Amino acid sequence: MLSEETVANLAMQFESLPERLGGHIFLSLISLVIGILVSIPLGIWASRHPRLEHTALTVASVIQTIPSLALLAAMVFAWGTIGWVPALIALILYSVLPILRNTITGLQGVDAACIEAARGVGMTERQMLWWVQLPLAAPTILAGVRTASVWVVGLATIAQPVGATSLGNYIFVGLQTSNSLALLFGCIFSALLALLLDGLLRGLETAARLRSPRRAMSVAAGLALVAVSPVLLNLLHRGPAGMAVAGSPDGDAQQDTQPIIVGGKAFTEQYILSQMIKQQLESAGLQVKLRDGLGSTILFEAMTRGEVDVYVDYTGTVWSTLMHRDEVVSAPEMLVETATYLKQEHGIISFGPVGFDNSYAFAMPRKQAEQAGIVSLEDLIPIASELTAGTDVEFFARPEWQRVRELYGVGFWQEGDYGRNVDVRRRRQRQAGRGRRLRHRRPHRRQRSTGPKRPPRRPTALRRHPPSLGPRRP
Amino acid sequence: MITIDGVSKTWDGGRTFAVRDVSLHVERGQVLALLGGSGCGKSTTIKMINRLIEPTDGRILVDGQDVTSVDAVQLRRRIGYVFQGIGLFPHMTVGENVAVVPRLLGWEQDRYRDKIGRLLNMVHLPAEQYAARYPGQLSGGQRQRVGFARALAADPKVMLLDEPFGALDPVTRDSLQSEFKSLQKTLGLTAVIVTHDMAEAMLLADVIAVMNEGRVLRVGTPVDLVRDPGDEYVATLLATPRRHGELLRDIERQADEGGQDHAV
Repeated sequence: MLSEETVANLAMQFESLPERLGGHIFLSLISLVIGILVSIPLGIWASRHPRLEHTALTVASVIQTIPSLALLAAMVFAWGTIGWVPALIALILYSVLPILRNTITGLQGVDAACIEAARGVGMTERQMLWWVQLPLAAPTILAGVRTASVWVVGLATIAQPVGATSLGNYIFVGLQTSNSLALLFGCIFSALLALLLDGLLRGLETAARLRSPRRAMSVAAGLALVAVSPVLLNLLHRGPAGMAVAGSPDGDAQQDTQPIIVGGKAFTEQYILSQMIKQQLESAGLQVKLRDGLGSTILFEAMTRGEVDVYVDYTGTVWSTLMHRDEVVSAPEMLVETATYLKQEHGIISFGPVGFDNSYAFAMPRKQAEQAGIVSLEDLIPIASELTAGTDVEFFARPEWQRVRELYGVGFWQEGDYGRNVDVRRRRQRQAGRGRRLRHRRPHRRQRSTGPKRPPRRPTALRRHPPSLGPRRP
Repeated sequence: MITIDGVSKTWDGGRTFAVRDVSLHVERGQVLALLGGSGCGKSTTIKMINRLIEPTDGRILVDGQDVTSVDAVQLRRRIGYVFQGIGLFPHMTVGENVAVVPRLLGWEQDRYRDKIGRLLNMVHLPAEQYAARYPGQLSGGQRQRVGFARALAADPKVMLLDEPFGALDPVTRDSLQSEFKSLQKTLGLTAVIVTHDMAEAMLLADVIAVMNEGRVLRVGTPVDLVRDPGDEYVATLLATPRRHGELLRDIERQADEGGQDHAV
């Protein structure tokens, strides 16, 4: 039997399915369609110009080698916006290579005798293309489209950090909050979607080969059904009253006011904080839209552009990554300086501390610390080279760590960055032979860790200022 | 009907010539064979007639009209073209393949549907049985028949055949050659045929032009050629069928005498 908790969790996951599936289908289908519209004409053109063919294929291959997350982030900066636009463009770029390559291969693979015959019976170049070359290359081109469809559906899952809603939200949130049900949800539905699309395209291939309009029609109907499935799901879920599709205003009453957009970064406390802000604002009668799971820099950029209205950031982060400062100052001083900087440089107002401190600290299991007699960072130096240190993804790149290294000359045997929710304890058991391990962020053990003075990361709620200038201001 | 006047073709700006200063004439209703070994320029010459290859020099007249003065695409639709690769479109049925030129010319469907049926019957592929098949379901000889039907579909007055029987087995080749000959006579076609086979040229052509290294060595009727080869190369080409014929005659004579001599 399923526990009550699991049932509630399941219900919660189903609740967000229409929006996320809808976003995913929107991203995949539109990028695939645009990818086809770009790549096939480009492929036709390239197949006739050997030099262009080489260039086009090289460019497409280079794009393919860019790590997908990096490409997504690059699109955010290139297009100056977050949300579905950069995600869509990145997906289109990814879909180009397989379709382009197969179009060129398909066209060049057409039997030379057919080409000679086509020319010999008096076809124009255009007629040759439409009557002979494209029909004969169609199976190869469609195979490329199928490859692209699988890639695109897979890649759409990682569009969440740039603010596009997709089934990837399940995966990112699931990973960050240790919700394996959410994780599973994301994986299963994106796999099903990929299989379904691939199956439908295979049907189209068969229809083309057998030249059966009836088959083609049923495939088209299937594709249409996939396209509208989120709306159907929504109907099933909420009844006809809940027709509103993802993201659109719920009723007439709210159409004149735009929702306040609450942003959040991609780690546990940020998911909680953004939810808290959302609930607070909603209980005050405001309409709120949540955009959580965003990359740190991307989120700040989004706020400066007015695409996000409020989120929680950290004085230490602003100090080091935005202001590029590395000197050590007291917490109140830093708060004042960062607030001044944000207001003067970016027109963003800081609401002040939210009431808790989020600092980095060195931590290790008490038993091991006692055995080795470690009470301070100095004690750690001689044995650090035997220890493995685990941190979040950015710590080793942060100035705080550089400073610790400079001051203490401490270096670990292995320095690995893990997601914030990777179960470090399990790794420790596996590596029991080495015995000791430092863990980060265990606030209740702070008294055991002694570190250099470092800029504390003090959360500050940010609000764009002056609000009347913000484009999304209600 | 077809006049080739001082035509040359070079691919490298004049250092070497694929075809050099060729002049030929074909009367209406006649068949001209371009005969020679591979690389002699016979295929290049025939392709210049329907402008699949543009000549470097000289001019070609079809039905009194300089081919360069008309649109190449329109020109090709008026000239039936058959070649060794056949080049049937594998994604089209036999019927659709034959209907390609009429469709390109914008004929009404009613006008060409009957025509296609008649053409297929003429090449011994009954339409009701074959029209809906795909080229992949036919034998080599049947495919070449479809190729002929396709070339004839728009009632061309001129046919160009580039080694049309090259890929066929001897029996099929023989029957297709006779079929072509009778079709050509019935329809009064003017044709140019490229071949490397002297026997084929003698069987089909009214006039034979022997080519070597891009030049025409000798032009004449089969009778002229046999009577006076006039050139060593022509004589060599004639030697093979002659030897075959003599060999066959010898064997027949022996058979008539009882065939005892060779019994073991």
